[in-house]
Amino acid sequence: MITANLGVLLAQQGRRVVLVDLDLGASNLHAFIEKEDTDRGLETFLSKHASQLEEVIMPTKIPNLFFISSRNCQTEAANLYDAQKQKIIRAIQKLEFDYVFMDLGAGSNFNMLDFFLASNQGIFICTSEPTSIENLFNFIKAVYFRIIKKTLKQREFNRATRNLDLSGNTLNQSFRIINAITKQDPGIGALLKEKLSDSHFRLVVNQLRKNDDPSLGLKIEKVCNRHFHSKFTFSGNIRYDERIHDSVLMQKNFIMKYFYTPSANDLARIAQNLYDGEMETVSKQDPDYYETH
Amino acid sequence: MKPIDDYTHYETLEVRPNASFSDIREAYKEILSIYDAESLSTYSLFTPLERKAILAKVETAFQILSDTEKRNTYDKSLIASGRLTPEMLIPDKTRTPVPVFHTDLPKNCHSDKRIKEKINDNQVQILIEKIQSKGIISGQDLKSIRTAAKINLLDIFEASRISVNILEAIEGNFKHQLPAPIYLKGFLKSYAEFLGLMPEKIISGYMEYLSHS
Repeated sequence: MITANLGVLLAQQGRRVVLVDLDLGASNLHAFIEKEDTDRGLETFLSKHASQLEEVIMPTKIPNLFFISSRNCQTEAANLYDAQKQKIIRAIQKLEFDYVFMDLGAGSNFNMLDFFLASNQGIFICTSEPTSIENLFNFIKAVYFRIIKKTLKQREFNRATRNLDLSGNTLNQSFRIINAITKQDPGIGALLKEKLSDSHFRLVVNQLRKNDDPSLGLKIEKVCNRHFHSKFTFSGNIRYDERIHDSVLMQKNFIMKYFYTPSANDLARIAQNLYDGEMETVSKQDPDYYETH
Repeated sequence: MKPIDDYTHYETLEVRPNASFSDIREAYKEILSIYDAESLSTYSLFTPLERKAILAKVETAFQILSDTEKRNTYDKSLIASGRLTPEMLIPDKTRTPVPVFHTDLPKNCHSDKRIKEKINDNQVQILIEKIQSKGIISGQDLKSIRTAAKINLLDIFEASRISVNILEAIEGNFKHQLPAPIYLKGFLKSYAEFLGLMPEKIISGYMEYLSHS
């Protein structure tokens, strides 16, 4: 929902935007941008009926906004082969657009993490419920673990972690690994730290209700900046609104239909933040996708 | 970025070395609201042990920085170890606008905690048991609990907004200065809740005392 509406807002400002539905096996982004069923999509590209990803990009009703559907993918598309995943990531990185939004589903499997890491900036969406926040932290930890594993060679990783207890999912885990690696090989340790501090994550709190703490996002930002190596920025709250639900029921785009609502203002402010942040590729992870839509 | 174990007390509370006491107190409240066990913003991020260690660190930082003498000694040790320069300690004289409301902070989040600790003291608990088991409870009894727990009347005022005059009247059994019974009961209830007493026992005991005297 947020991906679609941020896409619409940026497209309205004259930016060329493409939305990629990468919530494979559970794709539903098309419903938010009033897109009719198409027979072209990611599957056409994967099954080599289209040689370029550009060929499966579909225009939408909104000028400047384009869409790559994954609706025609096979039922088992969520379990991508590594080669297919690499192919998609490489093709997406080559797209010539101002903004590429990748809509990801919930979960912390390798595909999700790699798509997420392929982006310039990741956006985490959470709600103000403990369950959602737990998902958020787990996802950040998983991203960290993935970065570490991808940076190191398997042998180095095994050597560094041989004497460490890797059970559980505590915050100190990635710290401990990094420290162990730095001890063995300061060069790699520094490289790892540099790689981690290079990544920049954004955070949006969705469905903020009247009695919720509006500073929650700022607090999470503070905590993450203190305890993780990367840069975290809180981009804004989106207030809860029944009309968001209504717009989904009507299969209309929320921003187009209810542009005058407070929640639409919130979205616009977040879009402005992204715009000011001068970022080119954005991916989005929605830990609560199944719960919120 | 360094792990939190290496933070100085100033970094722990996220204040500048030249921060005033009120800045430190505000920062302390804010940090507590983040790391508190009931805080949503760190839900599931830490194991209970990690959280305990962080909270202990925050507590030590506040204890030291809020005490002028301890803070001076600490500053000197920081300067000696080269983590601070004397210039950083010069207070900042530029005036900043005073925030009108702090709507985003829960009220009294920190004083509550310290008061709970005081009340949970063994001696105080024994006294509370003894007094609550009596049928008649006078103002002196209430005052003895409060003084045993080393709680100020102003603390009660801050939390309950009952004026100090009335609190003094309750504790001193000044019958003529007490408000009408219906209000008095309400005040007694707040007072009892604040001290962790049983409101029904306190109200009935105090009313009993008033009717006898």
